[in-house]
Amino acid sequence: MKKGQILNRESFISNLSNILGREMPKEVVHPGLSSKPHLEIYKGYTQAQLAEEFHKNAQVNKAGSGGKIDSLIIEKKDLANTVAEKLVEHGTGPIIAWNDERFAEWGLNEVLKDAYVWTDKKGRENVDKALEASYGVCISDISLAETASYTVIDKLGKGRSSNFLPLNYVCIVPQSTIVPRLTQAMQKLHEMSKEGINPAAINFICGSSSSSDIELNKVWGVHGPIRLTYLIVSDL
Amino acid sequence: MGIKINDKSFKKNLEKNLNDDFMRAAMVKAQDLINKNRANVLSQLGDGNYQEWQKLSGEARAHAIENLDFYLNQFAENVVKNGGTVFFAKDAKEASQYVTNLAIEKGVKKVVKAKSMVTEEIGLNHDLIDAGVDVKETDLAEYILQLDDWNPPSHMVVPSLHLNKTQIRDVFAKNGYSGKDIPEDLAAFARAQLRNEFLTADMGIYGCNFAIAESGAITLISNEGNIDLCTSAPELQVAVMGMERILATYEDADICISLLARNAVGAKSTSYTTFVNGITEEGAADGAKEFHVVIVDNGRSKVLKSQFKEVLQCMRCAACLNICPIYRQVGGHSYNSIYSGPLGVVLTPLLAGYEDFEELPYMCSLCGACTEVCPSNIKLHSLIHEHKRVLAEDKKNSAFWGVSMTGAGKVFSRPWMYKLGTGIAPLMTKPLMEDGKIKKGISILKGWTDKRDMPALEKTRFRDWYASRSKGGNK
Ligand code: SF4
Repeated sequence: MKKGQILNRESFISNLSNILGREMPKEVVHPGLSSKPHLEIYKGYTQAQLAEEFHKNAQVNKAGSGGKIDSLIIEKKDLANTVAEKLVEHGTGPIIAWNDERFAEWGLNEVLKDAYVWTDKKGRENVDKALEASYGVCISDISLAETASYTVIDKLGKGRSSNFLPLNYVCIVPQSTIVPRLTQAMQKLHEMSKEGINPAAINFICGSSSSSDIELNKVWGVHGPIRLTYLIVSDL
Repeated sequence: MGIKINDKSFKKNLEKNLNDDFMRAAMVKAQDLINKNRANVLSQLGDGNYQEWQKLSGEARAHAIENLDFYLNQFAENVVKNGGTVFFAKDAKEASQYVTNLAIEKGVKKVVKAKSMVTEEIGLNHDLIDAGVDVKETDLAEYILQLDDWNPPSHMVVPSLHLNKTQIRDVFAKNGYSGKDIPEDLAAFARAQLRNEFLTADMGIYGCNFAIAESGAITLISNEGNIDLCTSAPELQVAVMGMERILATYEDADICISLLARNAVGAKSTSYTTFVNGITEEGAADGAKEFHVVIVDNGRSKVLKSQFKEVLQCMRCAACLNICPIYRQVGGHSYNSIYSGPLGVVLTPLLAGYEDFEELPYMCSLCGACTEVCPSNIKLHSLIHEHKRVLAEDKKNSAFWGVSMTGAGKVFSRPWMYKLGTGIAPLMTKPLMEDGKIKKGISILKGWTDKRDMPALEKTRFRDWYASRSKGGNK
């Protein structure tokens, strides 16, 4: 099987065009949505206000999760200490972190000195380390105030499995990355896509892994991380 | 499995489910809980004007369906730009064979699957198993159902809703579980069993909530994180989607995603909302090295041609199931289709034919609650009504129905016959009476009296009572 083919396109698409009563158009002008209520949510909020909303909604998620989610607003000067505290909160254990120079810039070298750093060229070893990890440490690329979601945009050095396998997660949410809601994230992906940039995976995450499949009882950590801590850093 | 979940008659299925007290109570509990949460989160959406969002989402879905050829083509081009391969499958067989052949060709021994209705529809699991591939469903409910000898799903969002925790414990016990029927312990068992499967599978298969034409992205929405592991670990990945899953732009996706989670589970967002754009960067330690998207027609183009076209806008949120008073009473399995509730009533006969499903349109009281909630703005009850009309037209031509309807027509159009009929009905039903009620009806009354008593027919007809009352008589 060759990579990058489209198989059976002709007959499939021309059948649809026939049904729609025309040839397939060369271009379709999207009529746009008839109103834009999604642009009104948290409109005009400052970054600090958005951080407050993010925190408030994280508290709602926390309540719904029976305490499995936590959120703190801190300053950059307190980041290293707070990360250190959070990394022992649910018992010590192996840590996995991205290969990201921001950790050093933000003074986390000492705290993460024993962490396994995702290094793609080591191949599957990374995945095994993620599977064993008690803690993962990551940084949000885009943060959504309305749902208290952080976002991971796939890139070498981050490792997709490292975001889903560890038991506990500490996510650093720079205040500057917080936008009102999914709308602004979609605008960003739209802009990237126009430039031909389509990252292999974009993950929006707003909670611990959960399921209500057994008599509608909510249970935590069915597959992914059980606990999640957001550290919203007001001056990053 | 295919669309039809068993070969029993409609009546037999219904009888069985009406006697399943746990299942019926579970349906009620699920409806009440999800609807309460749903109403709460919808009231917090923007200024709480749900109808406006519903209209927008309907516009986005309708625009994509009106231009399906263009957007599917654009989507396919973009998947290829992102390093993937696209296969357009005209029917279930072609779709399933493509994935199965791919698995055989690549020497796949184990597949991890994340919940996908369309793979149920095309019968993929059984083809893979027949080809010697070990298939692992990873969504907790689907995992339970797989271990329970492929018990069919009864709800689109909570597929194992019909099983209680003791039944689930018994299913797990056959597979090495020795604990109690505590949901946390059962889930922990599943977690322990499944974690390693993700990492040792050669292939990941998942569905698609929305496909975005402008970038070639597949959007996946879940709470468990199993989809994310299916899209992370295996080197070979396949997304299977019904062709109607397309949306033109990220902005359209924003509106639809915002409504999907809220309607499906009554939450502002599910824990994981994921966009997958083909193969991973060169040199990455995980993620897809090879990525395929299978776009399935399987009868959908016939729907596109028909007066039922609007149903293709569906985003499978299950809000219509959760509000439906019939679904509440009979449960998902009574529809004998993987698509249940009002959506199933509309869609199943279109995809699988009236022959096996001609009773389905009558699983509706035309109350219109489904239309009111539907985030895709589909006028479900009108489409169900249209099914009834089509069936009635069809039946007019069948010998039995023709005779019965002609007979009824004669009675109703001749006042003296109508008067006589309604006059003697209380007398005719007298032998069936017990303690002033009809407890064991015969013929068409039986279906009613099997479940509840029927009040005795009044001796005074409504018309006579009304005429007398109008003259200032009777109370
Ligand atoms: S028909 Fe509407 S309410 Fe029912 S599942 Fe589809 S989108 Fe949801």
